[in-house]
Amino acid sequence: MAENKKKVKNDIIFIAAVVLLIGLAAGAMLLFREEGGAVEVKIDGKLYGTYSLSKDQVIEIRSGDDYNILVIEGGKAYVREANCPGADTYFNKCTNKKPISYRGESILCKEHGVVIAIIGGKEGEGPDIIM
Amino acid sequence: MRDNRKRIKRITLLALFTSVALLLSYVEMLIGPLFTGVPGIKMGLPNIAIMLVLYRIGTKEAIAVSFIRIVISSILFGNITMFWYSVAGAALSLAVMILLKRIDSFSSLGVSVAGALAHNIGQILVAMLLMQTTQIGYYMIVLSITGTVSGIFVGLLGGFVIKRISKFEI
Repeated sequence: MAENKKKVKNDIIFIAAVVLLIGLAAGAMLLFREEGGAVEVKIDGKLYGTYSLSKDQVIEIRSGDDYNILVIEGGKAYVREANCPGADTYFNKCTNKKPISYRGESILCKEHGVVIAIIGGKEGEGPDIIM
Repeated sequence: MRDNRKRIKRITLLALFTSVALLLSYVEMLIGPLFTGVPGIKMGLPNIAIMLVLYRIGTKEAIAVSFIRIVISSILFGNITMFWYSVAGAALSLAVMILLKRIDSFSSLGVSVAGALAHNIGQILVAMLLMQTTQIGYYMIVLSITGTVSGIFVGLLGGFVIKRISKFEI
């Protein structure tokens, strides 16, 4: 019984450490986040397109029969519609995600291999590198 | 003759636990979104059965039950993408749980929480691999919160069941 108590004490220390770590990570993210400038869309790791956040637009991301409708509105991006099956296991379905606007935030459409991510680019106009 | 009976008992018991784990996957599918409020984020209920097998039967058996459960539930409720996510999550989670159980300085509660977190890490890694992006590392924060909460829940339930069921003679 004494040994058992010690184990439970270890459990509590472990869980407290995990909670603290999550708190620190979340806090750091909130502190250091910055507004993004553009939305980058990738399908299976390949770049599909980059779209400015400062212009309201509706983008149809299409590959074969798969489609995702990406909406940029008031500096935020979200997926309005997609034809993926709802069998996602762990990550939220892309259409259920909150609009994203901060650098590094992303929306995944796992079934379609689509990654929609906010990138920098101060004003979000034009490419980062001009040849 | 005696040996044969033992084997039959063993097979039957493991089949029973596999179906319990499978049933828990199904229950989780039905009530999952209700509990977490977010569709897609699950509680890891099948881990109650896996932990019981791990603590009361053995390591090899826990791996077998977990793997068969994933194969069947992917065929019944999911698809091949889901299979890979589940396998990666379960493999990492089981490895961590087996290791922590061997070290023997945590109770089933700590083991369960560590297992839940490892499960999330496994799934994130597969997502990074399949989608060729590191962006989704950010998901880990959200998943850690839900993972810790569900790990505690499953760990308490699992510990309760383990305490009440004595070791199987197989």
